[in-house]
Amino acid sequence: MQLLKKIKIIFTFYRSFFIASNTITVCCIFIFLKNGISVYFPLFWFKIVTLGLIYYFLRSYKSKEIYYYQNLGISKIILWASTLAIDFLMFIVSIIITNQVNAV
Amino acid sequence: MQYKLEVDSIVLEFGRKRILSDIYFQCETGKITGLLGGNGQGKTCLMNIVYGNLNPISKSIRFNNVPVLKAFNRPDLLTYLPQFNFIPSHLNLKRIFSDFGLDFFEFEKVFPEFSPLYKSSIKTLSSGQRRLIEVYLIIKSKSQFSMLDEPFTYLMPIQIDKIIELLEIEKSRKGFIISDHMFRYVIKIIDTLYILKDGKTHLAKDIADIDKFGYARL
Repeated sequence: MQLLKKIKIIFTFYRSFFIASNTITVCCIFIFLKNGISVYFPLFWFKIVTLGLIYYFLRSYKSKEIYYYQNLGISKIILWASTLAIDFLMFIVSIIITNQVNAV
Repeated sequence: MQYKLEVDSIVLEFGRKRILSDIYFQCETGKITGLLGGNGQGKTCLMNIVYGNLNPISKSIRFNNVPVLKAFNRPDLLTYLPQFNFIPSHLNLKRIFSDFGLDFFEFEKVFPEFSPLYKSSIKTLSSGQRRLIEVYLIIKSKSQFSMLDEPFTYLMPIQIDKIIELLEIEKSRKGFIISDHMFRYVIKIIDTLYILKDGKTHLAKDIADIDKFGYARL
C-alpha cells in the first residue's frame, strides 16, 4: 500500500512535464515512421538531450515543490531518476512497437 | 519515549563569507524550541542544513545520538515547513490530506471555513488559506520533529491562536523548532529559545536577551 502511494506521488511529479515530454516522443515516432531505422540513433540522442533540457529548466522552476515530495519521504534523486527513466522507457517501447508494426 | 535532536559543529561559508560557525541547539519531543535572528543571520540556511538540503563545510546532526546526514529521507524523523508555498498547485485538498495520511474532517473541526473547499485545488485558495493548510500538515505530520520556518506569515491573528493551540496539543508527541519574526507569538509558546547572531547560536537565559542581542525592543 505504501509502495502504491509512493508510485502515485511520483506520477504526480511526472505530470509536471508529461505533456512536453510525450509531445516530443510522439514527434519522434512520427519521424521514425517516415524515415525508418536509419534515424533511430539521431532520435535516441535527440530524446536524451530534450530530457536533459526538461530537467535543467524544471529543476529550478519546481524547486519549491520538491519540499512537498521530501516531506512525504521521496527525495529529489528518486523523483528525477524514476520519472526520467519511465519517460525514456516509454520512448524506447514506443519506438520498438512502431518498428514492429512498420515491419508487418 | 522522549527523542532528541541535536545540531552542532556547523560551518557554512558562501565564498569567503562565513555565515555559520559556532552552532549548537537541541530540541526534544514534548518541547518547542524557538530560533530567532535578524534577516540574513542564517536561520533558513541552518534549517536547510538540518534537513539535508544544504551542504555546509561541516555538520553534526543527531537524532537520538545517531547521526543523520539527509533528514529529508526520513519523514518519520523530521518534516520541514519552508517559508514559501510548497504544495503543487494542481492538487486538491482531498488529495493533499490523503498524501499526508491526515483526516480532513479533523481539520474541518478546527477550521470550519474550509468545509466547502474539500475538493478545491490549492491554487484557488488565498495565500493565507494556502499557508494555513501547509502549517497544519507539517504540525500534524507523523514525524518525531518538525521545523517551521515563518509559520505565522500570512495568517490572521485568530488563525495564529488556533495554530498555537494545535502546537500545544501536538507537542505531547513531537518536538518543534520554530523561527518567525512575529516573535511575540513565538515567545508565548517556546520552552527554549536560541538567538542566532553573527553566525553563532546563543541560548537565551530569559526573554530580555531578545533585546540584549539587538533582535527586538521588548
